[in-house]
Amino acid sequence: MSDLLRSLSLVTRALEAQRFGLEVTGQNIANVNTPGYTRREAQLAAVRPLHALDAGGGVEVTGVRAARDRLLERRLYNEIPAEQREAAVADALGVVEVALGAPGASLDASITRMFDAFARLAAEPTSPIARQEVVREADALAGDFRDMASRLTRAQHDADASIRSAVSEINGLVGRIASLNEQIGGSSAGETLALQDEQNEAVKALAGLLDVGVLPRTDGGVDLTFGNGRPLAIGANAFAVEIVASAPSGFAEITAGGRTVTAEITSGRLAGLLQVRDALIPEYQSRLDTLAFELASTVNGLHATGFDLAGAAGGALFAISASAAGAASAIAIDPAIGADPSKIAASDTGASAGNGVAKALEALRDAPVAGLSGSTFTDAWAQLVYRAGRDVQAATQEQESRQSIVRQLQALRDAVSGVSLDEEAVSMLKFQRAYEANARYFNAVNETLDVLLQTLSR
Amino acid sequence: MTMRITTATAYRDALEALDRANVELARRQREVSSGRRVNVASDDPSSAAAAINEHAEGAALDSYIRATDTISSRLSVLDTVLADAIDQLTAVRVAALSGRGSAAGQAQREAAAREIGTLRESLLADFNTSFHGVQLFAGTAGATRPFARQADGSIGAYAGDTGQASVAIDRQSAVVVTMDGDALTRGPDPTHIFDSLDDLAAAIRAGDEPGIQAALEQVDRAVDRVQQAQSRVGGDMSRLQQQRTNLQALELGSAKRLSAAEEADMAASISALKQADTARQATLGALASISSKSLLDYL
Repeated sequence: MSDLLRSLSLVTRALEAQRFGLEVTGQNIANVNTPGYTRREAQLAAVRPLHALDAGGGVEVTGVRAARDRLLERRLYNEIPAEQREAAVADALGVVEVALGAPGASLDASITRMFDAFARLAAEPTSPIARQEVVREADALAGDFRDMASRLTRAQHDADASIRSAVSEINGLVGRIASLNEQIGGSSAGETLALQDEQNEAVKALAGLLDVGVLPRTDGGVDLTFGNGRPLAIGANAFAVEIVASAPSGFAEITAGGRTVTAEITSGRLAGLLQVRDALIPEYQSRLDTLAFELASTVNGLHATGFDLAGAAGGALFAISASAAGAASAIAIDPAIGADPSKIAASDTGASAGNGVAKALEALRDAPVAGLSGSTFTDAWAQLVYRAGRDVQAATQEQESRQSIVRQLQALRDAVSGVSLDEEAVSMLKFQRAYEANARYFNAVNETLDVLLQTLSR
Repeated sequence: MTMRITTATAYRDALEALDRANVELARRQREVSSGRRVNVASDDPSSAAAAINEHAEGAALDSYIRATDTISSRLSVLDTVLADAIDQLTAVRVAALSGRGSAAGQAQREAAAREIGTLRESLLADFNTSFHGVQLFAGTAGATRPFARQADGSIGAYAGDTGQASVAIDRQSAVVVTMDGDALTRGPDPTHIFDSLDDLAAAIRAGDEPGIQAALEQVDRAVDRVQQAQSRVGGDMSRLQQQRTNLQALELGSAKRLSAAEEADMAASISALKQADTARQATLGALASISSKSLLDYL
């Protein structure tokens, strides 16, 4: 009889276990769309028999397990930064590329129109209309150079603003990870599963921004470093990444612990933005500046050898900076010429209808320029556009190929940790039927006890 | 262990396929509606660079065509003026013949001399012709009248210069558009044609046969010079016409190359658009089918 009573208590535990299994299944179904959730499994174990003639002790719940593959997660942390870096480059440069304009409708068209104006001047050097046109086209060209330079600078400032907001996002994530470390360290194994899921998602988001080194802690948390081993989160301590504005541009320099670490960030969104701001856009700016400087200097050089309508020696046609640096922002038509088109020096001999200098200026259209490595002015612009287009194309292609790797890893991770509704439906059925069967067994044992008690009471 | 396909994976894969189909469809739509294959440089960087250079080439050819038109107008005016100058000089010869010889009386000689004076005025007007405000026969001194009337009624010496201005009609060649009035009116002679005409008129009035002869020889030489100039102008004008035709053919070639670099092949783009649209619909259908049933529907 004590065995029968013991059976009843075993059944109670069994019903409890099946109900627990159902609860875990319910938890999985509830979290099917939660990002970063790892599938939970109820761990049930058979209780060992007490002696040789004992059938067994029933079932007990030993815990809940999260189906997690640490190795896959680590590989994701390694692959995400590179993909995000290329994505950041492609996005930021996409705007620059649009700013550069379509072929035949941008700075190259302005250059062409100026040479057209020189051609008309050569055909009719004394015509006030032709002279007015040279003034107008030269002024428009200078304006277009300035506009293009300011667009590139604005794109740089946009990248800088994105860098600043990325750094504050990094600090926010690091703070959360550190506080999760504290919570994980202080709680028991079962409670930490949900916290670890949350922490994993935060680390993934951080890996998209910065290439972090992730070191697992013994208590289940993670330590984070970046760059040359600079600490980000050690246990519950978060180390902030700071920004210092650098002179003279005011652009953000990344510092950690007082040292400048900008150069140590090689992957992640932040690295992509830094590359755009500090390497790619300055390359385009320098090409634009060189083009403006060479154009203005060459035109000025020829113009100075000529004579205007009054027979006076020609001055400069363009006002330009002293060197190529910043030339595109500084180029403008010389105010004396802008005010008085008759000062344009078309003649090479001083005679009013001479057109030698105007012809030479027209011929510059096709002239190889030493300062542009032998390219013509239009070709130098074409090379700039090609450069920008190729940079965007390369970043986009690189991003696509890395994205497919990241997707594969995510699919593998899902295969281990993801929730499948079909599977959960089967589990639900399983635990439901088991509960019913155990309840039937309870009835059977109960009836057996009744029979026994009736027999005893007679 | 076989791969588990979880709910999240299935939806994510379907969504990615849908995104890709949408991106391709949007790209083809942009191609068809703009007619351009290259809308931003990254679509095809080397074609974008080629297109920039081809646009510039087309514009240069256009500029040369405009130059040929401008020069043609100027040369045609020159041609007309030179033809008129030859007419005047021919009339001078006729007038001189009527006033020379023993048969001509004083009245006839006087009439001939007066006519020569009138013809001198017409010739002066010819050589002082301007076009668009620029003197045609003053060399490169376009603002200066080459021949000015003096206080004593005679015509002063040539006031222009001997410079030449030419205008480019392509990268290698140019056409001279200026005329040296001195070379035309004087050439190797010590005085210009106007002075020769004055001398002729005076010689006719005086009945000075050797004087008339000498002056008429100068007139003949002047006619030769003007005729040579006129034939040179005529040659340049037909050269310009030919050049215009050449430039237009080159422009057509440039436009074709530009089209190849920049523009979408409409037939190929439209068919690719249809394909992208079909692919997208198929993806949508697949997405709908995977989401319709799970085991829970059967329990």
